[in-house]
Amino acid sequence: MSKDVAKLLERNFGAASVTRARVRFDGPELPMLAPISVEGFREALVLAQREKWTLVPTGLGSKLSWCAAPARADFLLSTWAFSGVEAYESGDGTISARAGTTLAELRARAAAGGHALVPDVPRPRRATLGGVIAAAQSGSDRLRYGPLRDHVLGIEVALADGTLANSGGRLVKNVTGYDLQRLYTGSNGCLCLILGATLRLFPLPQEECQVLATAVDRAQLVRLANAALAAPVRPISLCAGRIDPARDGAQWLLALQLGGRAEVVAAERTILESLWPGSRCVQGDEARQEAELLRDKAFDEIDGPLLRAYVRPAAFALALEVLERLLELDTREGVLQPRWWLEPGVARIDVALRPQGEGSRRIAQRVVEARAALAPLQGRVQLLHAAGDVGVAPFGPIEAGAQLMADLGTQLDPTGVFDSGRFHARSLHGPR
Amino acid sequence: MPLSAAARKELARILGPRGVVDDAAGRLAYESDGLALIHAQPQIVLLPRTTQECAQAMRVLFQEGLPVVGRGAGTGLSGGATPVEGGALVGLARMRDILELNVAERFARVQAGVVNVDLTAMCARHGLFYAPDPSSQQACTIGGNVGENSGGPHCFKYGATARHVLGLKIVRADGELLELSTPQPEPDGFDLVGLFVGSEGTFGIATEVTVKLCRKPAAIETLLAVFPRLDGACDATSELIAARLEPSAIEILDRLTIQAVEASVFRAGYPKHAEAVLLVDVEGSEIEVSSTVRDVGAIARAHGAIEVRNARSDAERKQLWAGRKGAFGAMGRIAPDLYVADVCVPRTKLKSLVLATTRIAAEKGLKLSNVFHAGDGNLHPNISYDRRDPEEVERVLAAGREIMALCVEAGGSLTGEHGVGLEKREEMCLVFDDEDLAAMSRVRGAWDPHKRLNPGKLIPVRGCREARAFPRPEVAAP
Repeated sequence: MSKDVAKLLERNFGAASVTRARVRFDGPELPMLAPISVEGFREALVLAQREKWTLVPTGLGSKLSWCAAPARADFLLSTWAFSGVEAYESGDGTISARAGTTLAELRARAAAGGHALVPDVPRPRRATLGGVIAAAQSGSDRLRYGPLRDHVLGIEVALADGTLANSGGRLVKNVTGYDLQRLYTGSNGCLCLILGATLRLFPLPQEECQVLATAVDRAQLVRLANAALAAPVRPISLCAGRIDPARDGAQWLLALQLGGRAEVVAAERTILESLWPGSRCVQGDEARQEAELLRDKAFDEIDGPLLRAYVRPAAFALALEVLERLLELDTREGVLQPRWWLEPGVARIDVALRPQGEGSRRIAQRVVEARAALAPLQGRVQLLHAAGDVGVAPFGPIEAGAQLMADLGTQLDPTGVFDSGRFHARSLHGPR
Repeated sequence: MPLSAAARKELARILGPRGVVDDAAGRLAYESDGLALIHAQPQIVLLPRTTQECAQAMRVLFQEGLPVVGRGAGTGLSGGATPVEGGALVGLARMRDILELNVAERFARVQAGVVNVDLTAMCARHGLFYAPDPSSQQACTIGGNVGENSGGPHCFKYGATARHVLGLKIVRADGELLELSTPQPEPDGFDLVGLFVGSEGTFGIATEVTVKLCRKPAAIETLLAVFPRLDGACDATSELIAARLEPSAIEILDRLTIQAVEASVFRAGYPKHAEAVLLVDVEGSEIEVSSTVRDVGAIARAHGAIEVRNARSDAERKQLWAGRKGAFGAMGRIAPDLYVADVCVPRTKLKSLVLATTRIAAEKGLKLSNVFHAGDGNLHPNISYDRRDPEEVERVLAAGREIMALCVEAGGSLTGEHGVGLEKREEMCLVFDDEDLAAMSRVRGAWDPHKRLNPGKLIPVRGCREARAFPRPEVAAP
């Protein structure tokens, strides 16, 4: 099938436009088309509909394996070559760009004009605007600015039949028409192909610093985090990573990012120093580099399976304890070598599982156990980047609105050009 | 289609005598919302007390094939709660219970008929507040705010309703209950809650709302900058934004508004000689507030403010804001009726568009005043008129259309917080094309395949190509 698809794509779009890529790193190679114009995307969608193909939208592919393996995929339709900032309104605080633009490029453009771009995601050179929106990927700066979905002001998408549809606009306040950008944000390529969007920007802090502290155990970690969150400071982010215990006997490194007017940051630092005795502070470029190093290092191995848990804030400490206990045996046996990354302020726990030997086979069981254990805490557990079919759905069961979601899928993509089954355990469209 | 006798009996059984209004005099109170220019008589008004009652009543209405319009307090200004002639109206004003207040996790679960200001009053003693604060907050309901994605002055910092809704309980057209009220950091599947907010009653009726509560800031300062020219106030606002300052609210009132407020019960102490005042709230830590206030004052003076004063007490602060919030009511002193436009514009173009709207009104011989959310670029050009004068009504509506077209042309939009409703429905074609609107219709089709909920609202009935070729006859009739 894929040879025929590749041939037809090459015939329609030219051999140079078609490359090969994988949806998942252990999956089969598929043809990948990367149009450079809106018309190119429209033609590809019309062709897919006519040929009854299923396609997988992608940007640079960094989040392709956040979803389940596609039940069927004939080709990848990538926006990576469709990039560029279309408008940066410095006086209005908005930026509009094509879907293939990387977050690094957007961030640099905004920063040059005195604006901060939200979300601050790991490895921004590999993350495209379209991909980040499709995956609803908030950054660690969610603590101050809120989730990404609050900042997508407008969006342009191509629907399955090739029609283009806009919603929202380029204004910071606007309720004209349905807020479809909220539907498309986090739709994981199951409803449409995102072609471009406008994001709200925030003032670039005059000064930033990272306050760093260590904790000897989970109890101290939670104590320090809670003290900071209750204090009269307004952190941009608060993260914690598990570190080598050889370092002063500490298990955790906490990093709290402050930002704003110089005098405000100085006052907040003083508060933090009293709450976190022995903490140190790094500033300026060093602070940013330190933060990125800490965070991106934690995510360097995210091409392996990553367990992501969200719980209610009050349940964070308990959820962490539950998950640590759940993985204790596997860790001791060395079949899983977890790398922990926490965002206590938004109650998110990421664990890169790093399976060794038998470890891969235990992952599904651990995810099921984690879902059961965190359910009473209203927790949600996702499994991202799982290799092959590990036998567990990447997203937990949908408790309400499943039929409505299926109906939305049917309305926007009646013939199943997009594989909605990648997002949920069962396809929204049913068999084609 | 008249309701069957059996259906009336069943509705009376479900809702009790206080839950059904079917006499002509009683129904009259529901014939319009805040946009009194457009009105219609519902066949029956239902006032459920619980979600279960609402769901059961909706099932009956669905079986009877009746169109249904939901309504909170009826304070909307776009005709979003205008009944369908002969249809049913479901009012949520009796659903006023606060069901849960979680202080530790800072959220509340309330029935949809809870009045906006009551929610904030209820959580104030815990040092919390509900951020969206429409001018009508003394009367408007949380459910109505959800339907319209309402804003308010402090949305400049905190965002409109969509950013504060964590969960919903929704009754769909056929009476099915959609339970999405548990707050979650990320939705399971598509963001149905986010999508629902601002759907103007066309997706379902929200009966319970879980909202985020904010912590009261350590310090708040309110500044009043007095300008001898309206454009100075506009320029100062544009520069505040460009300077990346972060107040929590930036509002402008022009001379006509100031005079109306000062002559009313909402008298706030605004100087009557001023052409405009800029009302700015700054919130945060003590040090953050003091440095921001200093910069705001400097920018205001640089743009010609003849006086910049800080509220010296909490009472004075409240008084300054009472004047702003009461401004629409105070307009009743100028003329019996008020048309409130709600356009949004890029914040770099505030001055030129405010002046252009003034010119449009002057050319049509209309009395226009301005009171608006300058920080968000959300203009409210208000036209005072008398609806008993049909010729004047025509001029008002024509001015409204012209203002919308002008703002859209300048990169703006039709509405920032009042919704599209009936009033701006045809103007949707100024902003969107047929493909955009078709996508919206498809989404609506998933929620309400039989188009029973608030039919005829928000999405134009005619295609944009047709509407552009043959401009509509006016929808409103006084």
